[in-house]
Amino acid sequence: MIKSDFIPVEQLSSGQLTDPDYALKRIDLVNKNNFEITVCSKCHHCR
Amino acid sequence: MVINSDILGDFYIQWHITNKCNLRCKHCYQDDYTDELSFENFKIIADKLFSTLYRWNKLGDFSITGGEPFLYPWIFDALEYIDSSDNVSRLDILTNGIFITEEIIQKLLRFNKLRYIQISLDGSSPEIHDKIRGNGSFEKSMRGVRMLVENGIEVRLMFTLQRINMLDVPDVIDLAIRENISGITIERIIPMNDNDISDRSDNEYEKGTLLKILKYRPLWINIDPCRAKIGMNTPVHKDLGGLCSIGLDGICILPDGNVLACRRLPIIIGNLITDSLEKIWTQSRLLWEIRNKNNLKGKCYLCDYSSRCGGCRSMAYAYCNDYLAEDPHCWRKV
Repeated sequence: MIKSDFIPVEQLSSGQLTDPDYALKRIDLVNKNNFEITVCSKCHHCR
Repeated sequence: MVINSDILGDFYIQWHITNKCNLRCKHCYQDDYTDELSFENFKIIADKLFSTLYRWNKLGDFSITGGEPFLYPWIFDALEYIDSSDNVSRLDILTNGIFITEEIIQKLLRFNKLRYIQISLDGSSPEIHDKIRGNGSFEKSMRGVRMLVENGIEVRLMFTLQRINMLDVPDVIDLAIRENISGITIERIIPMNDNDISDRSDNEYEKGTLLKILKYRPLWINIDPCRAKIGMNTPVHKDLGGLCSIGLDGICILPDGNVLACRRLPIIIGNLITDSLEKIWTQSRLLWEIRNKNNLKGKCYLCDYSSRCGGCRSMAYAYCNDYLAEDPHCWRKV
């Protein structure tokens, strides 16, 4: 398998570095009130 | 900003503790069947996960799997270690079910956080299932299913749709109802070896089954507790099926400690023996590239669902060698 590298911390915001839900919150913000799905279906299809 | 508390849930960890397996299923994503996590390293990784979850003020939702997890020599020590942590909310086991015995069930019943056992079943009969998973495997897996159900342990099925079993979906659903199984996940195959693409049935999904949604998305079928009806659980969009949360709320760990964004996206984003979960989660270039939907290409970039859907990144990588490419199976005309 190939490897993906890490982004240096200087290139990331404090929110990105400290909030584990940073990306999820932004997606929810974008979709607020115009999209009914806000969460993974947890169907474990990834198995 | 007000955030729907439902989305800020537990952190999902799909943990492959061993690559050893008693089966050699045609569509398996493994190319190695020997790697196994030592129990010492298991505890090192688990402790790292627990401490990070504590700092994040989150609970872990663990799926323990393999290979075949019941071949792991320290399986019950590992389950106990997870079950007893204050940083864990739920625990599932993903297995082929063949090694389930009364003795194992009695041990499983001790775990307070065990939510369900997921058993892989690729057909409603030995004629279909065994062609994919090996002779005799259907009856052995079904024996495990029945023992678990009889002992009050919730069972779910995982069904990987392929050419050989695509017409069997209704019969598998009937089997699940008959056997008091609580639900089925039906997933399209993601090619991870040379055989898989020829086993796909893209153009035949729709005419082969009434479940059009299978063409492009996994489907979670929740079988009602009273067994009177079948319906998709929520939240599943009627057009989008089961959405993927890659890069948003969970990771996959391999037996050597390597971490993937998804088990079906074979790109290593870190290693939990050498790296912290914080570093992997906050600094992985792949994760940030996937999270930013503006990076997606083709239809997935243009699509008005892209911010929450974004297609299957693993499927894009499998077909295009580019995890940002459009999902080659999407049905939408953009």
